[in-house]
Amino acid sequence: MPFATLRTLAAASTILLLQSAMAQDTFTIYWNNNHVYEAYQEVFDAFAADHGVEIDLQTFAWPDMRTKLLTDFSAQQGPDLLEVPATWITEFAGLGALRDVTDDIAAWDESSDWFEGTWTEVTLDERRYGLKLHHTALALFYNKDLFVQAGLDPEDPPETMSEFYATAEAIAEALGPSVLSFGFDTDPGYIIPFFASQETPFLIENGEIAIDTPAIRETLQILQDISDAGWALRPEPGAAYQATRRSFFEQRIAMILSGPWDIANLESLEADFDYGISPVPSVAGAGALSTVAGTAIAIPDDAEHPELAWDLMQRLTAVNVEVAATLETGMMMPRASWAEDERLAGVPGVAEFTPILGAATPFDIAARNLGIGDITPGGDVFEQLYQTIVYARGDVNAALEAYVREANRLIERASD
Amino acid sequence: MNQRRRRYLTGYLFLAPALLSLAVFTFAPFVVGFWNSLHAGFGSDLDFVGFENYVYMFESPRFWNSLRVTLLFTATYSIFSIMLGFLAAYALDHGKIRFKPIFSSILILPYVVTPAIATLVWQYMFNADFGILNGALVALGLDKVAWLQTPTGAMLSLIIVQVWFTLGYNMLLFASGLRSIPRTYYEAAEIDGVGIWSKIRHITLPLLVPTIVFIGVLSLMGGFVHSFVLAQILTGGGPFRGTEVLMLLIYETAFESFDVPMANAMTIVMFALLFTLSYLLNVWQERAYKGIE
Repeated sequence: MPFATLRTLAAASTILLLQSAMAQDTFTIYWNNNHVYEAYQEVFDAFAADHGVEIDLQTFAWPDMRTKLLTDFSAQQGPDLLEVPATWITEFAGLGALRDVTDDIAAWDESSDWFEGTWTEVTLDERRYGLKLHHTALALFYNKDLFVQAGLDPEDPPETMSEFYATAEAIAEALGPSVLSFGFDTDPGYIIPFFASQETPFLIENGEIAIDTPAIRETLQILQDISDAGWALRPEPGAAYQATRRSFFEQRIAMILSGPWDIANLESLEADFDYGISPVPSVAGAGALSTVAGTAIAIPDDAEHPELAWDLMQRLTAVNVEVAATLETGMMMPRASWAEDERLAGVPGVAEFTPILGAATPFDIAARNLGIGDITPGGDVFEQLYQTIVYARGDVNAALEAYVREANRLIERASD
Repeated sequence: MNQRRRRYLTGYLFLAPALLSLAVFTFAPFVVGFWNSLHAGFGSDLDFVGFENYVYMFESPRFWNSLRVTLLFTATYSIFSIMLGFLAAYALDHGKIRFKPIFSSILILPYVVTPAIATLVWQYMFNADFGILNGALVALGLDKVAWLQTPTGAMLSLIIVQVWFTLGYNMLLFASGLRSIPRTYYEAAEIDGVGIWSKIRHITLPLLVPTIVFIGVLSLMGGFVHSFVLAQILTGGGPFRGTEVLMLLIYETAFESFDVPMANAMTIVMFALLFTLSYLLNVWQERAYKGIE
C-alpha cells in the first residue's frame, strides 16, 4: 500500500478517535408524542446545557412505547428517563424494570407539596418508583349549543343517572338521529367514572370485587338502555381512540367523558362551539368522585444515568414548569401549590377539574398491584362486561355477576 | 480439488448468503423461541418450567376460541377468494370481454394498497352510525346493519375485506396457470362436443392443481399470519373475542401481558399447525396431480 494512502488512513482514524472522545454523552428520553410541550423542551435544553449531555428525545404513541419497552426491558437496556401512563408504573416495578426512588423522594424537601393521592399510583409494596407528571381525571364534557337546541338548560348538566337518561332522551327526540346524545369509548376504562361516582372508589376492597352494588347495577342498566335506544355512539370495537372525540368535536355527539387533555383541542378549534365540564352523573348525585388518570415519569432499572435522571425529574415537576405547561396546553398537574397558583385563574378547565381531581381515586390500583390486569378496565375479563353493556342486549346483572365471579377467582389465585 | 467438488463448492457458495440469512433470521429465532417457551418470567429472569406453558395454553378457553376463529376465518375467506379469483381469471382468459387490462388492474388494485390504510377506510365504511354502507342501506329503505358490533357481523366484515384484498392476486395466479394449459386440449374437447363445465372439471381444474395448492398455502399464511393487521385495526379482536385471531392473541400475550414465553408457546403451536396444513396440501397435490403433468 502506498505511503500516502497509509498516511491518509492514519489521519482519518485519528480524527474519528478524537471525535468519539469529544462526543457528548447521550441522555435518552422516551416521551409521549402528544406531550412535547414548549415548557418541557425548555427544561430539556437547560438540563442538557447544565450537564453537557446531548438529549435524545424519542417520542411514541402509547401502544408503540409499550412494544418498545418490552424489547428494551427484555434486553436489559432502555432510556434514562421515561414518561408512561401512571397505570404502568407499578406493573413495570413488579417486573423489576424500574429504579426504586423512595429514598430520593424522601430526601427531597418539595415532595410534601404533592397531592397525597398521587403517591398511591407509583407505590408498590411501600416503595415508590416514579413521580406523577400529569394528574388528571375524567369528567362529563357536554356541548352547550346542542343543549340549547334540544331545549335544555346549558348551565344545568345532568347530576344524577335519571337526569342523564332524561337528557339523553331529550336530545335524541329533538336532534336525533343526526346528533347522538352520548358517546361511548372504545376503551372500557372510560366507563369507570360511572362506577367510581357511585361511591365505589376502588375496584377491590377487603380482598374482593367491590362493584357489585345496587347503585352500580342501576347505573349499568341505564347505560345499556341508552345504548339500546340508539341514542349513543357505539364506536366499532377496533376503532381508534379519537373516534368518539372526533364525533364530539364535529357536534355529532352532545356528551362524552373525557379529561383535561381535550381542553386544548376544544379551545384551539377543532371544535367551534360552547362546551361545559361537570362531574360524571351518579345515581344519588354523589358529586365529584371520579377515577384518576395521567402520566408519570420514572427511571428504568438499567438506565445509564440514573442520578441525572432524578435531577431531570425534579426539574420537570417544578411548579413553574407545571404552571407553564398548564398555560400552554390546559393540562392538570399533581402539586398542591400548582392548584393554588394565581396565574391559573381563568385557565379553561382548571376551576372545573380542581374539585374532581381532589376526589379522584386510582380505581383499579389493587388489581394492577396484584398483577391481574385481566380484571382491570384494560383487561379481557372486564372487556366482556363492558361489551355486554355497550354492544349486546344481554342481561346486565348476569354479566356483572359473571365478571365478579371470575374476578374474585383471579384475586384469590393471585393472593395465594 | 477435482472438478465435481469444485462444482459443489461453487453451488454452496452461491447458496451461502440465503442459507446464512435463513439460519440467522428464521432457524435461530425459532430455536430460541422454543427454548424461551419452556420458561416462565420476564426478560432474563426466567425459570425453566418445561411444558407448563403448553399445558396452560391447551386448558385456556381463550386459546381455543382464537384457534376456532382463525380456522373459521381462514377456511371461509380462502374458499371465496379462490373461487372468485378463479372465476375472474377464467372470465378474463376465456370470455369475450373488452378492456381486459382495465378489469385486471381494477381487481389487482386492492392488493397494492397499504393494508393498514385500506382497513381503516373499510372501518369507516362499516361504521354503524355514519358509515357509507349503512347510509346506502337506509337510502334503499332497509335497516342499518351493526357490521362490526356483533361477533357474526364482525367476522363477516373481516372476511369481506380479506376477500377484497386477495381476490385480485389470486386472479393473477390463476390467469398465469390458465395460460400454461395448452389450447390444444380445449380444441380436442370441443371437437368431441364437450361443454364448458366438463372442460373446466376435466381439463382446467386438474391442470391447475399446483396453482390451487400454491394459492391454498398463501391463503393459510394470510389467515394465520397476515390476519393480524386486519383484525387489530378493523375489530380489535372483538366484540366478545369474535374476531380474535391467534396472531392477535399472541401479540396481546406478548405486548399487553408481557408474557413472552407463553406467546412463544402459542407461536410454536401455530407454526406446527401451519406446517402440517401446508404439508397436507402438498401431499394432496402430489396425489391429485400425479400422472397429469
